[in-house]
Amino acid sequence: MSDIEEELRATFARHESLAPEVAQVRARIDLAWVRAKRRRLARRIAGATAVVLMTGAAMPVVLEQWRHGGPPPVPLADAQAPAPTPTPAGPIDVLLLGSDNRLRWENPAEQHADTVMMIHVPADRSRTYLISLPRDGEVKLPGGQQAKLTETLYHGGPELTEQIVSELTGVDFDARVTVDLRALRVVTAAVGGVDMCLPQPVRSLSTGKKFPKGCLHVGADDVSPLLQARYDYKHGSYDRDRTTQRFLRSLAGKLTGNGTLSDPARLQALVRAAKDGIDLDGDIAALLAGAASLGSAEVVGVSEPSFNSTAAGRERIYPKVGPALYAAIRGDALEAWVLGNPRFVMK
Amino acid sequence: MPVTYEEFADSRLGALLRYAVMLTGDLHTAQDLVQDTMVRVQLNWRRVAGSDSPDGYVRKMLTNQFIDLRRGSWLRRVLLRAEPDPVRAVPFDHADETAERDRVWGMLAKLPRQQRAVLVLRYYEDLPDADIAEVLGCAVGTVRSSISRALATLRADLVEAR
Repeated sequence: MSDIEEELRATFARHESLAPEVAQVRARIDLAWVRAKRRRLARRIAGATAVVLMTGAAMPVVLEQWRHGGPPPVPLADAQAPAPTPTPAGPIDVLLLGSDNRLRWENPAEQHADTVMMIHVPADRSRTYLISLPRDGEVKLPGGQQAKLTETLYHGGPELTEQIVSELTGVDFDARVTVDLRALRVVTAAVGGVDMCLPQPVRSLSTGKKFPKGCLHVGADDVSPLLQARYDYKHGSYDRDRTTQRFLRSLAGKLTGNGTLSDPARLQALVRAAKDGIDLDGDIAALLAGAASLGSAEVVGVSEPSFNSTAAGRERIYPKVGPALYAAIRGDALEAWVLGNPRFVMK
Repeated sequence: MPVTYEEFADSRLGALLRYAVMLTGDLHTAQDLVQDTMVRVQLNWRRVAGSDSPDGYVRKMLTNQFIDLRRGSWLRRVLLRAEPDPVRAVPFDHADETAERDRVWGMLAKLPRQQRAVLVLRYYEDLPDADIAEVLGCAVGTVRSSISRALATLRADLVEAR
C-alpha cells in the first residue's frame, strides 16, 4: 500500500471525532420528520386529486354523492388531521375510456372510444402507469363477430368495453371511468393550462388548428383539437395515444406541482364544473383510498410503437409483448417490464 | 436485520454520521445531509426495509444526495448559507504529523464530489470496487479510474506542499 493510501486511512480515522452527537441529530431528524409528514399529507391530497381527476375527473361525482348524504368528505376537508390515511394493500387498476361523445350529435349515445387506457398504480404507489390499447385493435364481440376496440363502446357501452379488455388482458379492474373532452377541458382551464412538449407537429383537420413541434402551452380551447387530431400522424392513433399520455402526465404534474387543488374552495368550483363530462363505475371508495396514499405522481406511459395491421384493416393488440405485459400488470411487476421494454415507453 | 425505522436509526445513525463527515468534511453539512436523508428514509421506509440490504440502500441514498447537484434541495440550502466552517485541526501528539495529515483532509475538500466519495468508500468504509460501483451506480472501471485520478491529484498536491 502506498503512502498516500495509508495517510488517507489515518486521516479518515482521526476525523471520526468530528461526527456530531447522535442523540442531538436524532432529535432534529424527528422534528424534521413531523414537518415532512405534514407536507406529505398536503401533497398526498393534491396527488390523490390529480389521479382522480386524471381518471376522468371522478372526484365531482364522489363529492356530489357525499354532499347528498354519503360519507363526509374527510380526506379533503382537513389538511391538518394527523394522517388517518387508510393504506389499502395491493395494486389498483382502473380502466379509462375517452369517448368521442359530442353533444351536437343527433344521438348522444352513439359514441366510440377514442382512448382506451389501463391505469395501473402499483402496490408501493411509486408510479402511475398508463397503458394504451390501440383504438383500432381487433377484438371479438360476444356474438363471435370481429370488431374494433373503439366500436365496443357503441355496441355495448362502457360495460362491454370493460368486459372485453378484461377478457383480453386478464386484468380485473377496480373501477372504470368514462370521460369525454368536456371534463378535461374544464380541468385544464382550472389549472390555467398545461405545458407539454410535442415530438412532432400536430394538425387538427376538424378545426384547422396547428400545433408546432416542440414545447407549448395548451389552454382549455386547445384540448379538443390536440387530443382528437389523428390523421396527420405517421402512426395515426398510436401517436395520438402518446400525445394523450403526454398531456395527462403534464396535467398530473401541474396538479401536484402548484398545489391548486389543495385549496378546497377552488376544488369545489372545479368539481361543479367538470361533473358533466364523466361517468364512473366500480369501487369508488377503493379508488379514492388508493389514490390518497400516492406520494409521487410520476407517470409512465406505455404504448405500441408501430402498426401491426391485420388484413381486415384492424390492428393486432400488442401481438408480441401482450402476454408478458398483461402478466406484469396482474403480477404488479411493471417496473421490471418497463425497464426491459424501453421501446414501448413514452419519452 | 432491523425491522422498524426506530431500530434502524438506533443502530445505524452513528455510523451514518461518521460516513457523512468523511464525505462532506464538515459536521454541520454532514448533519444536514444525514437529516434530510433520514427523513426520506422514513418517507420510503417500506422500500428501504424491503431491499436486500437496508444499510446499503441508505448509504446509497445518502451518497447520491451528496453527489447529485441536480436534486440538491439540501445542497442549495447549504450553498446559500454562509461560508463553510474552516477545516478544524484535531489535536494530536506529534504536531508535524498532524499538520501533514490535516493537509490531506484539506485537499480532500478540493476533489470533485464523486472522487471524494470513491475515496471514502474505499479507504474509510473499506468496500471492494464492485460494491463501490453499486453504491455510485457506475461501472467498476469508472470506480478504479476515479480512485487513481484522485490519488494522483493528492500525491501531486502533497509533493507541491512539501
